[in-house]
Amino acid sequence: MNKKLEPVIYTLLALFLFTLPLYTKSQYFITIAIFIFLYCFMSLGLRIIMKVGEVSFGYAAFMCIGSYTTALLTTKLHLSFWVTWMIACAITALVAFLLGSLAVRTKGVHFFLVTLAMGETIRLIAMNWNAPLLGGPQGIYGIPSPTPITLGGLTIKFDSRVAMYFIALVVLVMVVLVTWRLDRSRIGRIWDVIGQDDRLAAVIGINVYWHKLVSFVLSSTVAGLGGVVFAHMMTYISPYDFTFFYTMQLLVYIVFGGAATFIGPMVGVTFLMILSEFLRKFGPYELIFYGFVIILVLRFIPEGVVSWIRGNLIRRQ
Amino acid sequence: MVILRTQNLSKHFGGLSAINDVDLSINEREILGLIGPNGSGKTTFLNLVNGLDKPSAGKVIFQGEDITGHPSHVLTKKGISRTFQQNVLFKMATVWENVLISHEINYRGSPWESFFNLSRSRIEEKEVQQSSFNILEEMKLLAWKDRLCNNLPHGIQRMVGIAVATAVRPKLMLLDEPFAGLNLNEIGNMASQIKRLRQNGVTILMVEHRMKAVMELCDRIVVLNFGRKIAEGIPEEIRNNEEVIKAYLGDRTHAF
Repeated sequence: MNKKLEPVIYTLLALFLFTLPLYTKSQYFITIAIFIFLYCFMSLGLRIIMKVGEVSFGYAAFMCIGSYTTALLTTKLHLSFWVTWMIACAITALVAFLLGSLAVRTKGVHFFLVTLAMGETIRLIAMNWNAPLLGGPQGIYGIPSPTPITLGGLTIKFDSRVAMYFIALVVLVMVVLVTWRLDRSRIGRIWDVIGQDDRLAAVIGINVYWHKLVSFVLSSTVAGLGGVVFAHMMTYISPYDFTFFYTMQLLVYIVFGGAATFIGPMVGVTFLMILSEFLRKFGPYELIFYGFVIILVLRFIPEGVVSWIRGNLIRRQ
Repeated sequence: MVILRTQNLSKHFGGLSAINDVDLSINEREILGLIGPNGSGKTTFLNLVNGLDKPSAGKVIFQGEDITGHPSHVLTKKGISRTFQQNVLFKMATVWENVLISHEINYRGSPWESFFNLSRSRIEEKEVQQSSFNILEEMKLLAWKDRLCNNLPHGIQRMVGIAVATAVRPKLMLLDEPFAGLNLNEIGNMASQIKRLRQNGVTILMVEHRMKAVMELCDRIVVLNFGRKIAEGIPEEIRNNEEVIKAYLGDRTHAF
């Protein structure tokens, strides 16, 4: 792809996304779009820890922490959404820091198991601890939509689907900007080489432990932010929303699109989520089709769709 | 002036003592060869010096400072770098990227400056790119600059290993069998690179099996056997040392 063309394409795409609710009144489309945005930035967040060569299977649990924090603060203490999302992110980051300082001492399969155990523990705490407060298996109902903002006589309300659409889109843009800068700065370079060989990384003077911890905290905080958006969009959350299958699903999207490229995870999310909507009419055969497509892609283009297109279609021109 | 000294350095793995009471000192700008039969603890010794392993007993003193058990990345900042016996490189990165990232500790600003794209970080980035270019040029690696390390011939990978260790700008460089698997031509190149490093003020501790190269390059040689120092001296002395010959070739009575 032409380097000069890329900013133009991305600007047009952003313009299209920001005006999309003008073209359609369908709640169905808007809802799918919100979910795509949510999964897009969640997958970008998971890719942050994947850069240092690990996969955190506790990812969904940090989403759980973000969700529950904002849900509790808005329903029990009636705080404004514009305050609670920040508190939710801060608490998620704090928990990620504490758990991460233990988890990032391990790597590979051990890291996978440790984070899986931590994640499921968090979820089980949400399910079983202090049911009057956390709602046990039923979770928390009636999470309010974000509080209206009054700006000099003009009141902006956020109680519609379209408002949630814009919130999700803005969060997506934020996460895209942060991770894009990460990719292109020294930080991203450091994290990349830690993922390739942590021993050599230490030998050239990189504090592997610290960098892994930072990437774990950052990644988990994005998950917490995702939890906030999720909670206020659904207005209802339960511990069953945050099992590690959720992380699995994200991982499939990321690998499908290609973890090495920046847009890979987002392409994977968008393509597979739209595909699964189309397959819905086939009823019980949906999952078989879906699985078949994924197996085909992983078998024949293991580097992911985006890397494959870049390597084979574009270079040949 | 002594740059590195070890005192009674020991390392035990369970019941096996890989390094046993080794006292050793290296002078500034010296090339010191560390030789010994397979399994004599040479690589373990390097690991102890550069923090990849923690000693069971004894001390490592670098430029007058006790650095025993410090982690690797801290020691790198103090000025110790190393290469590995196998080709340990960032294999999915290009030669250029390998050398560039190895400058990481030479940046004055924190990596987050580059995240926010401050002008100072852009200036530093230019300096580092220039330095990477110089290193590759001096080591005649420019032709390979954009190749992934994964696909490079063995000899080139060895050279890139040295380039990476150089980019750190060390005072002391530990080389683990730099000549392993090289052909005669490549050995010549490697030897001249090592001499050039020394001219630039780097002290070198080298583990090596190729006796000819060791004898030619090294100022002094230390011989390990079963984790103990059995001899030390200039190449001429080592060549004629009875105990060294016995360690390498075996006792006449055991040979049959």
